[in-house]
Amino acid sequence: MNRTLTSAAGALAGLAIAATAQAQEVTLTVHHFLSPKSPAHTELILPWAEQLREDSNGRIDVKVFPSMSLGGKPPELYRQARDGTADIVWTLIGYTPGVFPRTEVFELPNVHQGDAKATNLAIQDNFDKIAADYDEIKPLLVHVHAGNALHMRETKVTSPADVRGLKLRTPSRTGAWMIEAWGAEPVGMPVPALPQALSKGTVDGALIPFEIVPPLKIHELTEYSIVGAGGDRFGTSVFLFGMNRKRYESLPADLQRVIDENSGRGLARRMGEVWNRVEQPGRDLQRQSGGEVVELTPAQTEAFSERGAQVTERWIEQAEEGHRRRGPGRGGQGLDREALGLQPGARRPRGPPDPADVAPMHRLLHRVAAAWAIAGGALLLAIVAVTMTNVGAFALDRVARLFGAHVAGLPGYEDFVRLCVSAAVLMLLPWCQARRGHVAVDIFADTLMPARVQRSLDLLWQLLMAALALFLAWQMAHGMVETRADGALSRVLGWPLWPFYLPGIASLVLWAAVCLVDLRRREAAHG
Amino acid sequence: MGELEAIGVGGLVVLFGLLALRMPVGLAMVAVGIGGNYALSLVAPYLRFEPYLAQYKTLLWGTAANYDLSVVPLFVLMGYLASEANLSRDLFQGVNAIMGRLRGGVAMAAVGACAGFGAVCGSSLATASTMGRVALPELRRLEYAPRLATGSLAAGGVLGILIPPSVALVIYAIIVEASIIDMFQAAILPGILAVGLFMAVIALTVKLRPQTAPPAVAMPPDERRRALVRLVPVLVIFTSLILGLGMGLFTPTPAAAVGVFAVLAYGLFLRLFGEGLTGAGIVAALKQSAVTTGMIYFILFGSEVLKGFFTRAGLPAALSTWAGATGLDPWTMLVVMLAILIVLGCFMDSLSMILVVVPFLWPALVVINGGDHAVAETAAFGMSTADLKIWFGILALVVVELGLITPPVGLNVFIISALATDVPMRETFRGVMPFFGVEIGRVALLLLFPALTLWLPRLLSG
Repeated sequence: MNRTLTSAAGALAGLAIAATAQAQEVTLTVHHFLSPKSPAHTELILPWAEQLREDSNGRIDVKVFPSMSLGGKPPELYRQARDGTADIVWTLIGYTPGVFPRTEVFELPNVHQGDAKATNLAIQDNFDKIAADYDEIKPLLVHVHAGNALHMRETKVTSPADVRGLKLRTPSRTGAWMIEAWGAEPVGMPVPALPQALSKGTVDGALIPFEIVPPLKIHELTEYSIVGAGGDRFGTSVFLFGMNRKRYESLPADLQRVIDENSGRGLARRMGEVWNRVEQPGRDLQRQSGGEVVELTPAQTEAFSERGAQVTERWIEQAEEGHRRRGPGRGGQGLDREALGLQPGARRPRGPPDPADVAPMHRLLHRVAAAWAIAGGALLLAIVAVTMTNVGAFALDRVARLFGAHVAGLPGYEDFVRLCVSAAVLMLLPWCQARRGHVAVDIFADTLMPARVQRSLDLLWQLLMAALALFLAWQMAHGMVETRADGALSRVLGWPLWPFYLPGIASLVLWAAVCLVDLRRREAAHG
Repeated sequence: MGELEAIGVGGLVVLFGLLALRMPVGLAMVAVGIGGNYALSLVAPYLRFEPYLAQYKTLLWGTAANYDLSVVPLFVLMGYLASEANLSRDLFQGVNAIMGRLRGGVAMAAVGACAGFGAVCGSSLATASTMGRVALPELRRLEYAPRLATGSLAAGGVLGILIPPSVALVIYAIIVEASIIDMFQAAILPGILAVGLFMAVIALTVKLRPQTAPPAVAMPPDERRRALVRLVPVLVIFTSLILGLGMGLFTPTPAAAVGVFAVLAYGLFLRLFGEGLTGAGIVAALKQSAVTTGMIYFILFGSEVLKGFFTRAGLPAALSTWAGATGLDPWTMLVVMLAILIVLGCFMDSLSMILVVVPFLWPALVVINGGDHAVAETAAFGMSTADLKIWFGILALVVVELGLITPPVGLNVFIISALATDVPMRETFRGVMPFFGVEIGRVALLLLFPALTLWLPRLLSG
């Protein structure tokens, strides 16, 4: 009897397992940039995934990839969700300035008041007003952290005058404006670079929330953390937990409902509570390590708020201007890829080439590639020039301070360097190809293979190289069109990003051309 | 091992196969990355392939638009400008004016100048070829034994990678997310140690076999004074760069930009005396740095693509789980890792090796040491993960560079042999052997006394 029961139970269990295995119809991937130990991972994404599995009776499985383990860099997350590289991403809207022009309003200092739950619910209440930012993605949750506190290495700050002329790390574009409004100098850098910058004194302070104080050991590097009266903060950052739209629409209606039930208002409230809660350890650490958490008096807070109001003004101005420039919809209408004239790939050789025909073409292209590389080098020298200007301004400032004056350097140094280098470096590639500068491992081919085989292999690699360059040029042209349509901007300077794709695309086409001409020349030389 | 990991391992095998067929390293990385992701999408449908390709819309631009890496093209440019401005010659002759009075002193001066030039140059190959061109004629003129002359130059070139600022250090730091400045500081003492050991090798060789070096001849006094005067500005530029970086007065990118400016300005100043940088020299430097920088960035892009494949295949995670479970002695594992690097270093260039191999070894090493948040007291290597990062980086770079002077591919040896056409390659390899011996000794010292690397960054960072 007993035996029968056990085996029956076993059979049932087996059936149940088979049923679950069968029932699992959809696997969703979630990609984000923080470590598996971060609150976002443990408190938001994992419970959410578990809930989805449960509510769908195991028909939805969720695979979570933390720390960018599906590849790419954090600023690409939004694009990955839109393109479907990952089904769902959790990202900061500040990573793609200009792409979420409406949502940015919730990052403004006087809009967010230091309570993540309140702002989360405000976002929910006003979602129809910002919905146009999300027409290419299915937003599951748009939420904020509890707000930026000002963490200072050694300066106790009670008024904007205390930070005058100091360098402060900005979390976002509007954060940079706020820092400027205080009379300080904004420096943009990814959060992981912050500990080093603080310890070396390349920045004097930073605007970050308390939740990332413990993992980055900010409390060991700073003496003061400053918050407004009643826990008011200096703006916040908005996070997007969003899903690829097509992927969502391809799901059966009942599974769509499961996802809908696990997004929106209820989730926003819960996450607001979570983010308010994860603040406390950071505050405690600052106190325990001998630092001080300074809460400004209402009057002192008011002084910051007044400056903050300038930021709001500036934001409204820019928003109106953007609205005029781009029209009421999202920007970039009427721009299609063909219109840009970027149609690489039309350079296929026909018939055996004549060496005499190839030589002038070859020479010309090499000369163009060299000139192009020198132009790229000139961009590097532009970085040198800007650096020297800033070093000069820094030195002058040290002198001017003796007389109470202040000399400002050029703002947005890192932005400028990043953009210059992005164009310059790609411009060097065609010349590198022309000089056969790409390294390869020679030893085995040289010793083990007959010359004929070596030659054919080299031709094959060259052809592949050209194909890769054209593929990349084609993809990059798409990337540029999208970047333009998104209105993506650089972090501090607010320059549009898309023009910086152009030198790269041209370089890739030139690179492919150099490959192909070299190929034809060698083909011709060997008959 | 799951199916995905198996594809990852397969991809690694294919990668080495393609490299052996002389496919350019960057291209091979991209090919394996794209092909591998296709294979993954067949096995695991949720890792879809077409959306994966959409990454290429921004991946290349994103790789190039990296502030941390911007220091690389600037350092490369500075090195070539310094070389075009003949600062390498000033450096060698200046050091020679100081050391030339010893027997074997010119060879020691060559090693010293290599170390100094490594400071502006950041690449071993460029250091070897630049200093080879400057110092080799002098050594031959004085009738140094060919083996000693070529050997000390090939070995001296190795110093380029370690003496900060070095491109390889920057890239290692970015891969493991270490502070670039900490890495630079950590490299200083091991670098000085190497210079000292190399000079000792030369002194010993000359002592044991006096016929290898001529008796020292004193330089004519005015020539000597001239050489010393010309040494001063070069030393000022180089040491202010190293010190500025080391003390945290500059961050790397502005430091490199200021360095380019200083070399450029000094080179143009020398024009007043009919020397230094000409317009053609600047153009030549720009073109040469274009080739080197293009090469570096293409490999960086390739490694970015490859990483996208290996992480999706779960390979680094699998390797570190495995490393945590084997229960082998941590020190044995570390020595095995270094041995792998030495062997690969015999065939591959250092940069591609760092980019391909370190992302695998590093996570495994962290697990062996006791995880991300290991503290010194309980960790297997007796140091925190942050310290391990620095220590392993220096060790890895030292052994990677050993590959430059080991047969069969010792690239530094090739370069020096190409300059000294009358010295058979075998002679140069023999000349390098004593240096190779002390290098192994140096690796052992660095292994046994981590303080050699860790003391200075700790002191300077407070």
